[in-house]
Amino acid sequence: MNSAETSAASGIVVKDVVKTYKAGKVKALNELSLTANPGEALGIIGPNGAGKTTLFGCLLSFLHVDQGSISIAGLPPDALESRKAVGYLPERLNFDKWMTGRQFMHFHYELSGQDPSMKEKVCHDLLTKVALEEQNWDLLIKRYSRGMLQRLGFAQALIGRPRFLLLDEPASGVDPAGVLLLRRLMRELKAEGMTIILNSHQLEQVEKLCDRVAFINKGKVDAVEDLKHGHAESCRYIIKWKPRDAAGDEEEIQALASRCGAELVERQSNLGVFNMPNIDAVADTLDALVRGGFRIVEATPQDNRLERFFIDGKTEAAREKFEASETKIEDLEGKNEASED
Amino acid sequence: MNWAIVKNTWQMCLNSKLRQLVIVLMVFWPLVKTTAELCITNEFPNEYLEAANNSVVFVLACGSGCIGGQLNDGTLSLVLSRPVKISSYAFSKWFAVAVAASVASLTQFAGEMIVVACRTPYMIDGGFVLTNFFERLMICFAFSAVFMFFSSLVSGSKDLAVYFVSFIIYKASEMIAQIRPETFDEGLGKTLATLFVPPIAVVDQALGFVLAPKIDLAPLLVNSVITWPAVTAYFTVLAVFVSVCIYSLNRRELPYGAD
Repeated sequence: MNSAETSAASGIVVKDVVKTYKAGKVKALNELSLTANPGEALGIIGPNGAGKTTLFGCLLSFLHVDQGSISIAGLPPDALESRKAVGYLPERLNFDKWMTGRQFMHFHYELSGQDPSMKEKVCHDLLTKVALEEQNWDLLIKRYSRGMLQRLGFAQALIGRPRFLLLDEPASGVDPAGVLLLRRLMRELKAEGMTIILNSHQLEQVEKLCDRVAFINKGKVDAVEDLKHGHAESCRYIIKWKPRDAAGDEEEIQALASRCGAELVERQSNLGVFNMPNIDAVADTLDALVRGGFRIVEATPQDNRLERFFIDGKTEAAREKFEASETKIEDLEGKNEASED
Repeated sequence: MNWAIVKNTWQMCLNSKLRQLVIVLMVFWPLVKTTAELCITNEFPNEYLEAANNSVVFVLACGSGCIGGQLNDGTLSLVLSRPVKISSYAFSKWFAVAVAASVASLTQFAGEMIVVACRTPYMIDGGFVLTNFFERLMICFAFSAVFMFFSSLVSGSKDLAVYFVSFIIYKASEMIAQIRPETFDEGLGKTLATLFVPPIAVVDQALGFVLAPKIDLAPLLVNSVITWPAVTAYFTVLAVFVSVCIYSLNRRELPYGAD
């Protein structure tokens, strides 16, 4: 076994997985292959019904795959050892409502087969870690808000110090402070070497945390984007400068930008929106503008890379969505025109 | 056996107001019945212990939705994402329900004994009391296995519906099984009775045993012995239903998300 294979074997490997529903009529996963390397944060993105949730179901062995194989640290997902190694936060936070938060944590601690003498301490530490206020620990779960449930679920997922963390919409319904906290926690866990698979519709969150992102559509991996080396990819920047007296400087800006490989796509009085092929082009363009007499006051990325990835239609899903929305707009316009007539 | 699941099941049972109500009503029922009969007939009833078969109600009260409810609300997925074998889960559920139902049934039994000891102590028959005690325990343990299987088949508390449908079929087959083909004149009626009554009688016997499985201890009261087939049948029902419950859960895909 070579080093790449060894590395993959200790991570999560999904190979040609097919999962169908309704006696094969609905293909939720269609020969899907994916690898999450150890210590990596992998984002899963895709439209509703793309198969993301089914993939999570298969990874947790809740669903039986029709074809293909899944291995977690070289073991099948239904092996007890691999379950010990996986922490999981579901999207639907359906916990036993009659329990208190503390009882819930104790129950899952006992299920995880950890040292009973450490139960109180570990649960206390984890609930503190997710910043669930201590006064709420003995509150019935049915009285918990969505944000509190999310924190409790996150704490539960960390019981037993899992090597793999499967997170399904972890920041959904959480207040801004909670989002920042969860993001910080995920970063810490990743730094500790935990392999994280994150299913989220929040592109910004995925971009900030993940090393790679897999775009899933119609049960297949449509594209995989490497965010670690992301700055080598294109991005859009808004550059602001101090107002100048010189009029008609648009050609000048365009010339300076194009010399650095950038493109001016939009121009307002004292700012310009530039398409940059890479991060070097950003530095070069700024340098060229300063040398050209522009006093730069601000340079900010206009949107994140994943958004651009979607907007530019690099994935089939994005293209279809875009085309569908265009068609809808045309239909609506047609209807409006007809009603006006 | 997973003690965390056993404790969780007991807590779940204790936290349901409806279950508590049914169990309390059942426990106090003999006292209510005796008082009512005393008021109406001015005499104490002869039967001072509920039939052991009535322990089935305690199993229904303690075990309804035990697995199906967790399947329905998605909590089972979270439990089984932990290093817990499905066999251990099913076995623990069965044990927890069996013990909870036994405790409830024996509380009722203790209440009945207190009542009879206060009102008519001369009526107490040691052999009958012991027989009733052990038959209750046997029914609670074996019927819990049957009911856990029902619960693993359906979601929510539909296991109660499965039980009632089975009970109705049992009662219907019991009525049909009492038909004697020889009482019919020659003709279609006799032919149908000859053809269908014997298999329906078998179904009746089997269902009757499955819906209240116990080893009949009555022969012990008349210095007779319990037959081995009765013992074998009892333990077979227990083992088979725990096994099919595990098999059913293993085959089942757990509801997970919205896809």
